[in-house]
Amino acid sequence: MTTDQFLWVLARVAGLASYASLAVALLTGIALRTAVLDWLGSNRALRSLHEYTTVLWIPLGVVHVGALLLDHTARVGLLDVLVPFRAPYGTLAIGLGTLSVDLLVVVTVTSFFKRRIQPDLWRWLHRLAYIAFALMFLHAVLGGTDFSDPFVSAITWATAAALAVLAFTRVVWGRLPA
Amino acid sequence: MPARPLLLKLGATVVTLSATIASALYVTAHLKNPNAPLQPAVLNTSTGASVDLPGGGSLSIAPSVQSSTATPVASTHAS
Repeated sequence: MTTDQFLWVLARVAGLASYASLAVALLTGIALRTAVLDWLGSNRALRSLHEYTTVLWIPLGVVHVGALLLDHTARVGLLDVLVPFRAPYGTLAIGLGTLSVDLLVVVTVTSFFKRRIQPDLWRWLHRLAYIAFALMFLHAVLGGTDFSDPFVSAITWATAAALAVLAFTRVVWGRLPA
Repeated sequence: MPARPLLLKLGATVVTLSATIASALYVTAHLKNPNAPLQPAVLNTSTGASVDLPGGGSLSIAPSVQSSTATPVASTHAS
């Protein structure tokens, strides 16, 4: 296996795993405002878990982006990671991933400064995570090498659908009964 | 640290690690995917160059490998 092939495999593995870990992060975030995971523990325990999930998805996301930056075949530049819709190929698919990263940076950084930000503003900024996950899902579906496989695609769509239903019920009915 | 939050974090870590291992097994078993939606070009086509010779005439240099519409028999990229 050449270096580029190794980096390509690493990017794909980290991309799939970061999708899964970000889904866990979103699920635990929604769980704080619904009662779907109340059987697992108290709200404080779930909040602690939600904060911990950044330790899981951030490194995987960094590896995904870093491997693509180093992979000569992928030809993704540093600016492509920051500014969306610049890539010479797959402009939409890669651009959506870039936009998702930008939003996740905003969500994560503002989370660290939660105490210094007005609660209403912080809440709206944190809700960008829903948009970021939706963009990442589209990025994966439109550009993911492995998402053309029915097995991988089924897991991806099922995860996204479950999160969408939970988010929808939260918006329509508020906090659900335990 | 209370046991419940620790167990929850352990569970989330196990889920993430399992997803990573399963992804690694899947990707290494499917190294190439001809149906991948993104296919970065790996060959730059060149029209070659033409040089005027001192005694008259010119010398044209062009790549000997040309792109064609023939059905590929081997993959030149890993995706």
